[in-house]
Amino acid sequence: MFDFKRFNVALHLKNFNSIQFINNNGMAIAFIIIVIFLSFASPNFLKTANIINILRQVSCIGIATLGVGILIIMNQIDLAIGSTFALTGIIAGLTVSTSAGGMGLHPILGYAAGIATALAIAYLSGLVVAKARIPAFIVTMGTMSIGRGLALIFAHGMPIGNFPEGFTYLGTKSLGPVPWTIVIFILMIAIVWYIMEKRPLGRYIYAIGSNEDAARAAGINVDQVKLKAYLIEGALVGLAGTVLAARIKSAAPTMGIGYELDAIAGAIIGGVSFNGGIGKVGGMVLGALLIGVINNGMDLLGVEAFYKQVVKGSIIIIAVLIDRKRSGRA
Amino acid sequence: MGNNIILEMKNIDKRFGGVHALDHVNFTLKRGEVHALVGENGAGKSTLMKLLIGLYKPDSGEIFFDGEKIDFKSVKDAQDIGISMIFQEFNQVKVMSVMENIFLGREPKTRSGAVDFKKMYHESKALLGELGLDLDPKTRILDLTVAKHQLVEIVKAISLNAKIIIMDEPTSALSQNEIEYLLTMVRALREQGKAIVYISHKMEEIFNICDSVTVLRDGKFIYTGKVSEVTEKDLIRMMVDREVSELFPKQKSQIGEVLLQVKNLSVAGKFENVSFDLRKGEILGVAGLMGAGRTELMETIVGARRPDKGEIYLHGEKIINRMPGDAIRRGIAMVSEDRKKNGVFLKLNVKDNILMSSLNKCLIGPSISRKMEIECFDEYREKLEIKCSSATQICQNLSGGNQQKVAVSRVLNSDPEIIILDEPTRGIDVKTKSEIHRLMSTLASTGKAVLMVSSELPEILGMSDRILVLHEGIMTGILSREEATADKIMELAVATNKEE
Repeated sequence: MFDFKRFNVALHLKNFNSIQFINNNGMAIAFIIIVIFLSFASPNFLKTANIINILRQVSCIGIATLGVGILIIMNQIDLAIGSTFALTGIIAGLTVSTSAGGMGLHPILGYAAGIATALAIAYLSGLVVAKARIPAFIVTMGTMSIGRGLALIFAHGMPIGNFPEGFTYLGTKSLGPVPWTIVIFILMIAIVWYIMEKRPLGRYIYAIGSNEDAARAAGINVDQVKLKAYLIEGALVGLAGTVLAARIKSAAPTMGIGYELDAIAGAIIGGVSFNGGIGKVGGMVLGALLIGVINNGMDLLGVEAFYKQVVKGSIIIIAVLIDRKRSGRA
Repeated sequence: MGNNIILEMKNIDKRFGGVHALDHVNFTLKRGEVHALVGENGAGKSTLMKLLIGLYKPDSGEIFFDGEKIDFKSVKDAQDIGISMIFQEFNQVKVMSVMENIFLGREPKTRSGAVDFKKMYHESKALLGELGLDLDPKTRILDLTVAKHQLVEIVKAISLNAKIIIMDEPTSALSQNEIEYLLTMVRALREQGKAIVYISHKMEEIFNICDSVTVLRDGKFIYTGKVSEVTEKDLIRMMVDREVSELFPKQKSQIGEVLLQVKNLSVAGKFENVSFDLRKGEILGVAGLMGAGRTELMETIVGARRPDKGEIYLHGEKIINRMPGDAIRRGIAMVSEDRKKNGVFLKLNVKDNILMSSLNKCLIGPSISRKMEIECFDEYREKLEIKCSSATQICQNLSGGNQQKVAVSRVLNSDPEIIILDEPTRGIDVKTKSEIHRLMSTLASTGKAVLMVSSELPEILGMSDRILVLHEGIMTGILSREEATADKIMELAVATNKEE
């Protein structure tokens, strides 16, 4: 009797683990299948130049994915990513631009201004979310509109160009064979990984996402942690927006429309639970890469831009369905 | 005589996991009677009624309604046949009007299929009038007092043509006037031949309006009979009488100086002017019925609630805890009553849970040291015998008892001097229960002070050095271990002495 029972338990555990394995690695498996498919479908796909190109395209959105991923783990959100991209680009651009409206200041001040702008927007979102306890969805929908409006106001509705070489350097030059944008992306991955895995702040972010009431009861200063998480996200988005402006050597107030979608999708596809508490930095990176590969693959296969939207939207829904199934099982 | 019986529940048995919630309980209800259902918290009253209205299914046993065997699949089935329950928390749509709530889900329709508000208004008005309620059916629920919410629920039950109406602690949130009114209404319903199940702790009300009474204790049927044939003392004795053998014997501990002093602490509407001392090495039990304000008192001490009045002194110094984090830093930590709500992080692993209140202990420089984390985890796994596959097992997959141990570990890992345990053994198996009792005893003997809220009298009696009793937010007494008996505590908890 006793042995039989034990056998059953063992069998159950074994089953559970194999299901968990597929669940936890489903995204990686999907990634590999898509890469194999594309390498057959398009001869250019696996060429070094194309791979570097994908990584470069992914870098900026990828950095934003890390930021919003932290927030989603904390059971919060930021819908203002796209408009923050635009506003940081415009402010950084105006700081360094040598054309009529620009200030023509030192490139480092350009980066500082860009990041500071995004920090200010994130601070506003974080403060209202944490202190006034208004849902992040509503608050950041507001900051999304504010950011876009400010970008249009500052740029007088026109794109800004004429950036000095010192400013565009990080966006266009390489460190050996590796473009600087990719180096920055890797650096940010390392920093975010360190915060989430090694710093108490990271644990608190997971704790709040898992159960905010319990986090308070466990002695965590929830409001403060929320604000800090928003600031980290702001810094990341600001850096990404400024680097993007440096890469395309111009900043337009219409830049970054729909980027929040790509960033959130990357995090969700990467296994971050929309209900909070679950998600890993490695997953977010893989999710961002998957979005990049799909974008690139559709370009190579000559898929019209309109269809790309439909495909990406579908992928997000599928990813959330998988997440729902996974958390339903647990 | 026999045809007067409207409902019979026979041999009802129900288990939740390891807990035997109902152990072959019988319950009989007659037309035109008000039948009191009494018992301690967790005696199985609510579970029995939830089975009756189809919210749970019994593991075994039969229910007969009007002599016919019934088997409900949902609450709707029970409603259709004529059984309605008025819940403690009302299931009302607060932003909608009284009439919309009465007809929710079965709105009268016009010929074109739109809601017939005119008809709804007139029917609601008639229903309210029947019970002598002067209430505009168009008033929003939001704008009514809690007492009126309840009355609207009752009107709804009547409009559903309910033959049996179950009221679960209907007067717990009402003022004296409102109670009078409600009781008048209950009598009116009885005159109409409805059968009413009246769940209550309040002896006055039971003796005032109930005809029969059934007592449950620990999920077991204890007594049923006419109210006129029993005394208050009998009822209390039947509710609490029980063996105390299964418990872990408390060790003697050295009781030292005063650690914590609470003076005239009040939170409006929850508790008033509570004062007590807590000494080193002491276990102070806090007893009382549901809604007595025990949890709220604990939450105020740790800073999860703000006091409206009163002071807290730690080592003779006045302290103000703005949030639980402040209390933890001062060495006061609490294991909450509802571990799923705010005790454990179900999505996080065991190790992260245990460390969450004291991560700074595992820092080397700015980084968390994995080695130190594992050391902490191993220490508590061993000390509390937590059964988990590894440090990274997700808490969701642990049993309730083990989750509770994880919550306790987190609190102990923050090295508190004062440990507050709110219902530390609710819903956990007997073995874990005695382990937690042993742990409490050990903590006290090592000089910690323990504040323990419990609804289980044997636990309170077995573990406490002194027992503080609350009744509806008012401290009705502090008993020493020697003078405390189940009857005395229950008397203070229902405050029979005070009323006289």
